[in-house]
Amino acid sequence: MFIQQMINGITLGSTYALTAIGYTMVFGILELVNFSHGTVYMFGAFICLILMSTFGLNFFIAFGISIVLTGALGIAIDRIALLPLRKRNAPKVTALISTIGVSIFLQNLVMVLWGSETKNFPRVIATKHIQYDSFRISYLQIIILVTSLVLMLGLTLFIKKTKIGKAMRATAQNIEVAKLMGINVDFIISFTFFLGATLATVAGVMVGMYYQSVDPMMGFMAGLKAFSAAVLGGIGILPGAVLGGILIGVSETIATGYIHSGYRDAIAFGILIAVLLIKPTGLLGKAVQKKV
Amino acid sequence: MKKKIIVLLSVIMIVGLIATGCAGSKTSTDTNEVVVAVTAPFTGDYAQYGNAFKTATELKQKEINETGGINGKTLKLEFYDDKNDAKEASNIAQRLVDDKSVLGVIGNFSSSASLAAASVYESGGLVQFSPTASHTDFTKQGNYMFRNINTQAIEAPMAADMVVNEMNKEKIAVIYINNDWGITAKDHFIEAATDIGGTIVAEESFIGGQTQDFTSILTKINGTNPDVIFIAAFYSETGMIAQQLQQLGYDYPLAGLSALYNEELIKLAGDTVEGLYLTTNFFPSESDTIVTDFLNDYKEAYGQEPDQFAAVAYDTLGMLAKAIEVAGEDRVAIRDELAKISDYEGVTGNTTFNENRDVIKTMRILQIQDGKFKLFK
Amino acid sequence: MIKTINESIKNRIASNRIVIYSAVIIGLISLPFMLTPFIVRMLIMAGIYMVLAMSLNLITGVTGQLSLGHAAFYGIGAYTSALLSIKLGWGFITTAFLGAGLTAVIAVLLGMATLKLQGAYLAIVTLGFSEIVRIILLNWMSLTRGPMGITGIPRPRILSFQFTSSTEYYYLILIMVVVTYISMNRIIESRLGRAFRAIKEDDLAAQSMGINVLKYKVMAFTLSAFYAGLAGSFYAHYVTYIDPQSFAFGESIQILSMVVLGGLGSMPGVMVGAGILVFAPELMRSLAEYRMVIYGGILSTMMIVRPQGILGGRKVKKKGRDTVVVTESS
Repeated sequence: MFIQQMINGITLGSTYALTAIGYTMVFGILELVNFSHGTVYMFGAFICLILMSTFGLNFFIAFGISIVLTGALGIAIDRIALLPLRKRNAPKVTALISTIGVSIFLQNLVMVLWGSETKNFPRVIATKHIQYDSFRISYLQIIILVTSLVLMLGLTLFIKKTKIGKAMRATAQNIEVAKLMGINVDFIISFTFFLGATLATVAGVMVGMYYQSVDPMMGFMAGLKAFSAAVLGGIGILPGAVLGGILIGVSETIATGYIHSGYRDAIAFGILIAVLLIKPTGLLGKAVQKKV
Repeated sequence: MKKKIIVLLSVIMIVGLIATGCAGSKTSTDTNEVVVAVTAPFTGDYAQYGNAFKTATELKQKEINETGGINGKTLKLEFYDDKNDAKEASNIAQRLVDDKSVLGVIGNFSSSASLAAASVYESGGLVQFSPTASHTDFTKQGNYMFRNINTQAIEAPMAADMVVNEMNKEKIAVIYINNDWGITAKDHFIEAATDIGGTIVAEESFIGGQTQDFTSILTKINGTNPDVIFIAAFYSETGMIAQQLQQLGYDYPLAGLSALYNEELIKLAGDTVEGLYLTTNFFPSESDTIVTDFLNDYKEAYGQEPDQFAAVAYDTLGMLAKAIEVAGEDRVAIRDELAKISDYEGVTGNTTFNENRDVIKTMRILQIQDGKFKLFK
Repeated sequence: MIKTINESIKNRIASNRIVIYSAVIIGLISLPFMLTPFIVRMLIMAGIYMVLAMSLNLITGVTGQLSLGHAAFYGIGAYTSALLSIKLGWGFITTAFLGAGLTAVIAVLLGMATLKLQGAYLAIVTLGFSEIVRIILLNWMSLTRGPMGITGIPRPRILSFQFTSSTEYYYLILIMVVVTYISMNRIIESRLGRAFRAIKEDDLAAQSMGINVLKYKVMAFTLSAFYAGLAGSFYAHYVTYIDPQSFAFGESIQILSMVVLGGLGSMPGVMVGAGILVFAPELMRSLAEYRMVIYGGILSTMMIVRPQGILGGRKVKKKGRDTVVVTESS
């Protein structure tokens, strides 16, 4: 049973990791707690489902379109709800509230447009599994874990090797200086949001497929857990997000399996707090020296 | 400059207050209308159930108005979204109490919203008729509180009998949603089941609305080797549980409560809920024309089948309308008349209020066979 | 010329200050008699949220520490006061202060452990804490009855005076709001407040000036929790039924929105913010299922249009420049 629980935990953790990657990227550059990330994740999953069910599109086409559409949504959120605030150097909290407003708006919009009931998400990939004596691993579980690792590696390479990646790193370090160096900071930030939203869509669709259901409220907890995972691993650090996600997933599962199912979320947060007390910048975070 | 803004804002606020104040205290100027308010969650977690209230009551309203209305006047429904939040529910309650044109309130959906609002309705003297609140304390809050559903004190023991005697299972694993409905269901179920020879091998809870992953609970339950898994939850989580059971390769018979009678369960979970047993107080059978008529009208109007919440809301409005018809437009008289109702023939069975304004409805057992709900007993 | 007109208006207002203030006071006292019970109820709710918003403002607006878990303090105060009055039958003032006191103690412990964290790290810890509190409230059946909630909370009793009617509640919350406002202003203008504001401005500089930053952060946190606990106690005795659902994360966000909308750091501002966010959803009820969609849109729009909040008077610093113009918001 323990092995099965570990598999459950790692899979759950991978779903958190997927969502956390997009979150930590935006956070790393903007130092913004983006509350709309969870809602965008839900939106991406919904669009994919609607494209498949209402328009009868093939999964991969629907997936591709939903990635692009949701990416565009990410850009729109940045341009409409956040850019004006950056221009006026508003305090970070204001941007946070603005993303909350976007989240409420988007979530209720989805409910009005497509109803609030839980919808079935067809499982279009790999319903097979490998059965061992006392546990089994499904292909989809492996796919989810691999996807989060691949995305993490891919993004890390992208940020290290490409010119845009360099620009993103520069902006993350110091926006003012980046501007002086001739980087179109606004474009970079919008691009980051685009990336973040596409990652959220991948996460949303994978999770929707794994649990075979989507509902307008799914983004709320997912966003919270993604936030926790990102912080746990060290904000802005991609491997940290994956590590944090998996850790949270595993600890929740072990807590449920061996302690008490009712307290599962509390234990996950408890571990988060405990880790931060020992290592205040997250597991893989670098201590930031405040310059005077 | 700052002071000017403050003064301006205060003036705007006071004007706004008085405006809403005047708007809120209107009495029925249109004497050709009888107004009933419906308060339920129309946004948020339980929006789909609020929507069930809305569709069902609107259907009943149409029927009533097409057959002459109430004492010749048109029945009008007003909908108020309580977001399933205790504060909203109480605010709405006060608003409705103040609005003298409202003769009765159908609401709320959840017990916590209903309980929070009850004190306002009681002190304001307005009937609060909940189709679905199952918390034992609800009708104890006052004489104006009515409910139209079996409390779990009645339903859960029937479910226990179903599991132990009809399904012939002894070792039972229980999964329940951690809210007042789930907990009362679990408590009564366990008490009754152990009384008639069942053994409870596992008791696991989850927090509703924010739990998607049941794999850890299910793996744990699998380790206790139960004969059957009893689930006290709504359809969305039950569906997910059934699907994840199949994913993990565990095969157990499933049993649940009347909240599961909803075609959405089958849409969501497909063949993973094949064979599931459930109790219900609403099921169409050929001999019952009232029920089959309701089913057909609902399907024709909304393109989907009604679930038990819709059925109960439909009856609730029917009973309230009957009370208004007899008692007239006085809130106190309506309350008295409603309490007297007995042997009301509705789609959820023959309904009578007892002295606590609770009802006892007959229940049946269903089983999902070939992707449809079939009557078992 | 415009300057002199402004001056004369200011002088006119100044000299008539007593008249204006008395008019406002008389107005506030007589409001419940002029308005419907529903509006009075909304005013009472607004009052509760004003106290909550002011308390959050102290830690987030004045001291600059983002707290996303305020609902937990609100909840602890509510539950403590409710349980004490049901199980031991004590009067309101006792249970309210004990409730607030317990909340403050918990805040001290939490603060000492976590206030070394910065920015988003602190935010997530406060969020995690608030979720932990909610889950404990949900699961600790023997104490809190979990999701069954606590019904039949007795109405407040101060000495031998029993509060029953809406109007009496209104006066009670009015007094609480006024007391909170006055004491908050006193705190802000005291040495304590100056330390808080210095920490918000630049905690490294404050530290090097000899301010024990951690100690003052914990103090702000504790004071803020104390007032939230008081508000919670009032709330419990007002609605007479509480359950863990009312103290979830969404509630913390609601209070934070009021603070930011009204203007971080401005006590009158957050009161306005509280008023607006309490009344707006009610006024928009006719919009039915579009209500929350529009609410979200309005929230974002208000932030975009006026990011410093309605009464946030501080001129925002432009990064990279040495000269900074900062006007004190009173």
